[in-house]
Amino acid sequence: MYPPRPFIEIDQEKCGNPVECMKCIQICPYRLLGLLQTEPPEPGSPEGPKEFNLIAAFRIMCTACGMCQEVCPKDAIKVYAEV
Amino acid sequence: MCEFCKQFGEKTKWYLNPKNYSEEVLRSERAMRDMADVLGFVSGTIIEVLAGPQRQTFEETSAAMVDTFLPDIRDEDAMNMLNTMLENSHGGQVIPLEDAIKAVEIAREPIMIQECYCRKYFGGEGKYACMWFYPVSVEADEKRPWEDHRKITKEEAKKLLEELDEEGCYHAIYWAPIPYPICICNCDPLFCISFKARMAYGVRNAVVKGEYVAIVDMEKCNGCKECMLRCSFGAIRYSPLVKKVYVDILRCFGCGLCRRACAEDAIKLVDREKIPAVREEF
Repeated sequence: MYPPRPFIEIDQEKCGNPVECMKCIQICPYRLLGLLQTEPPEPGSPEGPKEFNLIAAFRIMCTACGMCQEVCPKDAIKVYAEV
Repeated sequence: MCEFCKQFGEKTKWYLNPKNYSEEVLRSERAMRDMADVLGFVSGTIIEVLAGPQRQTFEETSAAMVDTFLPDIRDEDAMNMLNTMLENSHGGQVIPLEDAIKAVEIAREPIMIQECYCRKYFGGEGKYACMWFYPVSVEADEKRPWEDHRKITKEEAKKLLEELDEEGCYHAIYWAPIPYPICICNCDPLFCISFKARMAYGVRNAVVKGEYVAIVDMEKCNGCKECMLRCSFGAIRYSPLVKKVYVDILRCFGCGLCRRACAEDAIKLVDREKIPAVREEF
């Protein structure tokens, strides 16, 4: 990869539903972690998405500072500086 | 003039040409293409994707997939492919407040504002910063009744643009696909998906530079540096020797936000077209 980027491993099972926690998402200085709906709701459904997966986007900007890994109460994130 | 203005502007800018807001452009062959063929992970036309429940999947998955699409940012073929993909789906251009107001004036009603997805799903506060035009503004009501959005008048839209400008959110107008203008976003660089695609990966069509650049009148500048706080693009520099600021025009996106902070009225926007060094720089 050029430039090389850190790898952020997310264990979705351990993480559960990130929307109830948000700790890692809010601690990232570049806001690279986000919520992705696991399944889009049916068109016209009165209920919005309830379940989300945690995703790592824009890894090129990640400095592998490890704050997301540290703040995670469920030990669901591992940051590897080198792939 | 950017290539889109040359191609679709008819002597004005692509987003100020009323023809581009027409039914004909909205129903063009390009606009009716199935996104499954262009992107793979969502289906339906780009308007259906943006109006329907797949929109978040489209935006967030695109963000997460940049690394896969572009393992090497020097790879020109991959970059060209990404840029073409954005032309055929959804990308945008930075515009100053006055152009945003003009675009709202000719945009097709209704106008809908909704909470910005980039801010919301990357851990920010919900903010009514995305301004959608017809037909997303109609279809989103039917397809996403659960979402925080509401209709506003053109006058309210202009007022909101002013407020967001004052706050320091730069404006960008997005196509879906080029040249149909579908929304004006008022972005925060920390959260904006297209800003990151552009600034970190260099994906040009995620957000193209505006048709203007800022110039500082050094005679008038008092060196207060207030304008620097408002530049999302890192284009304003301070000279400790002269004790005044100046603009790095290669970095300037021409959003014009710096002007509002200047008590001395020392910053103005000039047409990019008139500056040889950046005439072709988008």
